[in-house]
Amino acid sequence: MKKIFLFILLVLNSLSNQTFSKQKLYVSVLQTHNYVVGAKNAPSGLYRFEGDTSWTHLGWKNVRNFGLAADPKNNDTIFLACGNGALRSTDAGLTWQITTNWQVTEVLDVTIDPFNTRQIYIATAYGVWRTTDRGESWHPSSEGLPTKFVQTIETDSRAKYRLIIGGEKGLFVSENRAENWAPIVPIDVPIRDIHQNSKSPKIWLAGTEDHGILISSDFGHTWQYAAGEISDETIYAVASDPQNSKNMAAGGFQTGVYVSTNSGKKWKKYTDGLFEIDIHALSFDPHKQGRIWAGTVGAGVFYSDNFGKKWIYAGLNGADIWDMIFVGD
Amino acid sequence: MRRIFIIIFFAGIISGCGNHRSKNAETDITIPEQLKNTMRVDLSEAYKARKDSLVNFYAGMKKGGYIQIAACFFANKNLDWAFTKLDTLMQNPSGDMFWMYQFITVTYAGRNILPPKIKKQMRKLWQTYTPYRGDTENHWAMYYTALYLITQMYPDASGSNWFTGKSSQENFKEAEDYLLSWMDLTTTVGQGEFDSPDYFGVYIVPMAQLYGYAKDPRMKQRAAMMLDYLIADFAAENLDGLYLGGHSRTYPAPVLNQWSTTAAGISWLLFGNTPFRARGEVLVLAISGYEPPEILHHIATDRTKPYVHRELKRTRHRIRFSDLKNAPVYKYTFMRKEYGIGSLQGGLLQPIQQHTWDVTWAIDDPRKGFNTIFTVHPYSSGKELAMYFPEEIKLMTNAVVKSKNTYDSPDKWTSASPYEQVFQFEDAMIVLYNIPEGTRFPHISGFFPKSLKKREIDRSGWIFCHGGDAYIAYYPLADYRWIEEEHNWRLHSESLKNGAVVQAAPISDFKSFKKFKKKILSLDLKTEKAPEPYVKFTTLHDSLMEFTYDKIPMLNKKLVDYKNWKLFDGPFLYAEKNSKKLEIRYKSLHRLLNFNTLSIKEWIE
Repeated sequence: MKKIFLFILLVLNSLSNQTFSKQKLYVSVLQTHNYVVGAKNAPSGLYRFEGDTSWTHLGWKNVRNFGLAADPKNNDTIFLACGNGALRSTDAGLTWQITTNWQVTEVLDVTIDPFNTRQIYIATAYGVWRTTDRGESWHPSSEGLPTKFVQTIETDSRAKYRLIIGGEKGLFVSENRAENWAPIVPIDVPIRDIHQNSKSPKIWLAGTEDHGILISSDFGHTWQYAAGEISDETIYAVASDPQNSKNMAAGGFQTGVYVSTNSGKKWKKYTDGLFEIDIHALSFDPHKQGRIWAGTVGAGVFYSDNFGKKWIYAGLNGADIWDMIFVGD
Repeated sequence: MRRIFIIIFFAGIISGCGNHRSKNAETDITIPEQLKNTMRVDLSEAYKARKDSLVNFYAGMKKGGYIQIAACFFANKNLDWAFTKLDTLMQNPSGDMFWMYQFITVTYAGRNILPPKIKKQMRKLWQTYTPYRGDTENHWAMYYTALYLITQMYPDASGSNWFTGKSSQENFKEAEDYLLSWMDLTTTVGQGEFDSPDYFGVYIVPMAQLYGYAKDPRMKQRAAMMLDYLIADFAAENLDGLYLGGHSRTYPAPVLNQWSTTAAGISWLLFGNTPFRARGEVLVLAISGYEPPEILHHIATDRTKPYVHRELKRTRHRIRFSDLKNAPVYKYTFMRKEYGIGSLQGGLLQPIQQHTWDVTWAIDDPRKGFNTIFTVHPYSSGKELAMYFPEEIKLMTNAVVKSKNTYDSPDKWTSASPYEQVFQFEDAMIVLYNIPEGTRFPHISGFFPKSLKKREIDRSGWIFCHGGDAYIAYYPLADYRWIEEEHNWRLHSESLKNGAVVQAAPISDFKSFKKFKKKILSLDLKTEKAPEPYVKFTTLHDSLMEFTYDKIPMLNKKLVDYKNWKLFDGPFLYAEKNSKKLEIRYKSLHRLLNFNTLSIKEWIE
């Protein structure tokens, strides 16, 4: 009986891995080493992981790249949130276009509507912008926001037209494609990152400045602070396991990586093997259960195969990794 | 009164140099004889001689980069070297918008002599190299000017031929829109990256390029007017080529030796009032064809009468921790031939490199520097940086220190502080500090150069100084100690409630230093440190200044009227906020820049 159960588990695991088998890890590099605008800088921008510590650079080599997103229905289309606008590639990173004009700058995050991939939203230092034609034209969409600085934006994978953003004044939700926004309690807590679990979309996480993380288990309607050591940390990145939503990770300023395996009830901090403990990007590996990827500020990328207990260097030393996603071929 | 009244449409083209005197469809008005007479031939010839010497200086170097190449093309000299060097540089372009401005200079300087093969190579770079737009207004001005001019040259290319992925028309339109927007903002509520001795040049560069190379006569005219505008701003606040008073941005070395800046190089070219200083930005201006109108020369060089000059500026764009995207900056400068004293109102007006106030005196050789006194609260914080930059608050200080290594230093000489407030009237000033407990670097520093002829500490507390032909009295509100450094004495005070009273005077007003000291000691002065720093001071010219920290200062028992502060207000320059006009005045000469009608009006009264 036990063997049959294990066999079923292996089959399920195999099927699960097949779903993600072609996905590749992409990271956005804000800067590498001592970046100065206009100087001879080491490359920044978009990188694709090729195994071991090897990466392929794609596109602009001198762009301050914050967030990134890929079209879930066409993986050749990638959007980058950059200091000089929203950049789009429709050929898997070979060529790029700046889709925005001078009025859009300091783009910090980007998200693509999974229900209609022509609709894309960007979070900028000057508010939210929206396109309904894959970036051919952009329109300001900040109605209802008390301040314009918006750092992070996510479309709700469960509900059409719904988005949640985070900025200096907290979390805000829109139910109508960013036409207007309403605050979510708690207010006035600066938000640095938000994340929705892809398998269990009722689970949302948010990283805060000085207040640890916020967790929602009701689709982002109500939020609770995580207790314990993490509660007064500044958290720049939050992630959860697409295969098991109870597994969560968080990292930020001088934190290393916090991991929880019980839906955020308890968190444990890990730093062993990390060259730097400032963390700005996290992702669970869709291929390999239990593997977490971490992007550091200044020391590149690391992964752990044991929920954070030990970290293995995976390249790009010197780089500030701002964001990371898995993209299917 | 005799008034000659003319309106010159597109007069930048006309009143510029001879290279651009050709008429266009909207340029039918020529300058009347009377006005031609106001453009003194000797000034014009002297300017052209300086311009030629600068071009020859760069064209003869046979080393360097794009600037030297552009000079060779312009002067038609050392072309073999220039072509070879250009080919080398094009193998590995870098520098983003700084590359763009230099490369576009070469492109246009060489447009009539570059072989087709090299032109093709140069064109290709605009597709393969990806210059970043940057994050300051000077970056954007250079970026969009270059984009404007290169797409003007290749007007029909598709998006795949440009690094932006946009067509020529799209790039051109975007560049034009931004440049017009920046000009509008600057002429309505003031320049954001204002009055920077170092960055002055990188605003002059794009305007000079637009003036020199834009085909659209309207853009050419706007650029000519913006050059007049920016140069007039500098002219009124320079003393022997030094950009005096408060600055949005400067660097640790130039703040002590103000001649070592691009502003001095530009001043040499335009006015010849300071020693030669070679800077690439100046070459770009020199070969643009722009020639300053005579009135600017007089404003820059005539210091026979003391004057007060006020300006309204704005902060660069704030993205956090402020209700205002662009907060107002109230600038005040008192100028006379012996010295200038100028200030901003204090507070976090610009990140990292703000210079809030100084008194600077004329010296025989401005290249020697160290002719200034000022104080600073060395403030640094992630919150200050986050007000202007989008990266993470707790990470930014370390990131900034990598390129601007004094930012987080307790000994730095450039800094904005939220705990510093300034009130100036003529050549008297009150500076107050109210630093909260727990602030990083809880002290103030005062710069007193060793080059001072005298620095005497009086029992009353006054510090009496003599520099050049200026006497300066400095009264510290709190205890301090002196720290000797290589070029200066550092006044170091750790009192959190702090400040100073400063009074400058020309030595010609007193029979001796002793008489000056005696007079200062006779002035009414009352100071308090608690509960808030407070000063009540009667100036040498019998004006009563009263200032309590965090309250609007009072002059002769009336509140200072910041609400009606003009964009420019002084004997030489006048502009109302939001007017998009600047009236430039010198004796009987008048020049009105009107951006509403895109016209220049000149008259003689």
